[in-house]
Amino acid sequence: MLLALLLFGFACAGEQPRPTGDDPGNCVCAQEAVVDPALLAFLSKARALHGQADIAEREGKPSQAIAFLQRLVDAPRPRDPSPEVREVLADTLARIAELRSASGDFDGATKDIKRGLKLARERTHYRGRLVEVLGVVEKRRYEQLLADGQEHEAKQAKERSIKAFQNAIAIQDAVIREALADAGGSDSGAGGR
Amino acid sequence: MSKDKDQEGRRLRLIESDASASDKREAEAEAASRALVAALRPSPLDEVDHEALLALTLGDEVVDIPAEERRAAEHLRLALEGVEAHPLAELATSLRCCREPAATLDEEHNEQLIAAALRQELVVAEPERRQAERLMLALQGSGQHELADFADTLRLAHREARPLTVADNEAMLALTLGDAASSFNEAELDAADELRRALGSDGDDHPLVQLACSLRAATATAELDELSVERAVARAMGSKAEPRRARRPAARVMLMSSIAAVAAGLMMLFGSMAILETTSGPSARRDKEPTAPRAVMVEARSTQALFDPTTRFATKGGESERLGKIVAARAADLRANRFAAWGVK
Repeated sequence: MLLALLLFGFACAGEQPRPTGDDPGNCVCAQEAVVDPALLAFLSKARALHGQADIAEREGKPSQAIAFLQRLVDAPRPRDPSPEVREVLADTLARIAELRSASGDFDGATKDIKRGLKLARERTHYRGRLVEVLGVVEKRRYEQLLADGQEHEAKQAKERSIKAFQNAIAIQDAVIREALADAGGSDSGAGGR
Repeated sequence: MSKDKDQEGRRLRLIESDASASDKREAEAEAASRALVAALRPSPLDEVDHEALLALTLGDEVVDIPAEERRAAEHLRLALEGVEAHPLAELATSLRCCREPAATLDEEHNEQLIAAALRQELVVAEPERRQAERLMLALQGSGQHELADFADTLRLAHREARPLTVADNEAMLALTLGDAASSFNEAELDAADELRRALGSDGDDHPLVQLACSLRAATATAELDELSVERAVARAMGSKAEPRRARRPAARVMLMSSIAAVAAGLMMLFGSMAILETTSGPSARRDKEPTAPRAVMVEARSTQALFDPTTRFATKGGESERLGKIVAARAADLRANRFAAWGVK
């Protein structure tokens, strides 16, 4: 066995590294996701469903608009969705939450926001919009509770709304700073969670 | 003296009378025995019977049946065949039926037969009629009866399958079209996410992981890659994989050593040939020439760069416009990737 290993070692040492001429920069890893027909199909489907939701909203049918958008967010997707898919879904969930809260379903809207925040983890306008819509939802809840005479709960909703708006502003500011390369060393590339 | 004689004579008579009684009993028993033997003895055949037995034994037909009996027998035979009427035909048919195994009648038919035999109409008792009416009303939904549920169950069991509800129909359509999650609620989606995460990791902390792996393996058509095989083996063997490897037999080690030695020899041989070729062969000249860069594919990435970073997204509206930009940009990327895959510069 030892002799065999020695022979094998000599053989490996004798093998010359053969120049390939490949540029490391041109190396394409098979594992990385590229823009493919499946991704474009998903995006096209999303655009079509949002278009249908636009028409429904224009006709004063918010529940129908929600149903169209729900088809998109509930559809099966890959285990590790690409950034485009996650961002479009987060944007769609923000729209659903806005529509739900306008019809008084504040808890359902909050659930949609939480689901969207799990998808839009990076500090982007998508995450900023979700947090801002959360502020809108809590503001509407506050107004409703106030009209119902539940002052204590209304006060809590108002505080949550203010906090959400502040977080949204912070995220938008960070996005702008990073885009203008003005974020500073500690902030650049940090996650927004 | 005379008195003594009288006493002796009386004693003798007593003895004599005892002896005569015994004889009498014996005679009576003998007579009874004879009578019994005579009773048990077969009576002698008369001439006709004797003839008939002889004829039967010899296989001959009995020819001495009187013409009247023969006519009566023929009459009965024709009556049994339904040609003529005969007073004994009914009895003969009944006897024949008794000898054949009859089908078991159920209670209702039995009742009807009895009623028909007695030439009476089948009369349902009043309580039974009321019960039946109450059950019928309960089945129609306007009353109660203890047998209504059972009757409904029986009726459903014999009826065709009920039509699918809208939800079931939607779910089946979604499964068929690959849109399986369209009718799932939030809790189901969360549970699915948990299972998905558990399947993605090497852990075995979800109760459905093994079942899901089995189902996936059962429905998978593609071959397992090496990593998946390793993971499945590790999961199945648990901590027993290492000791098993340690118990590898010596013969196997010898075999592996031999293979390694042969491989080393071959590599040395080809290595020396390669050195010769790379230093002076045609491949050396080819390697010196500049090579074309391999095709670069456009990767999936965030769409944030498509929008003005200084302008936030509005809380309401603008989604369709954003998607329009995204689709246009990624369509161009896809086109580029196709050209790159085809080798078009």
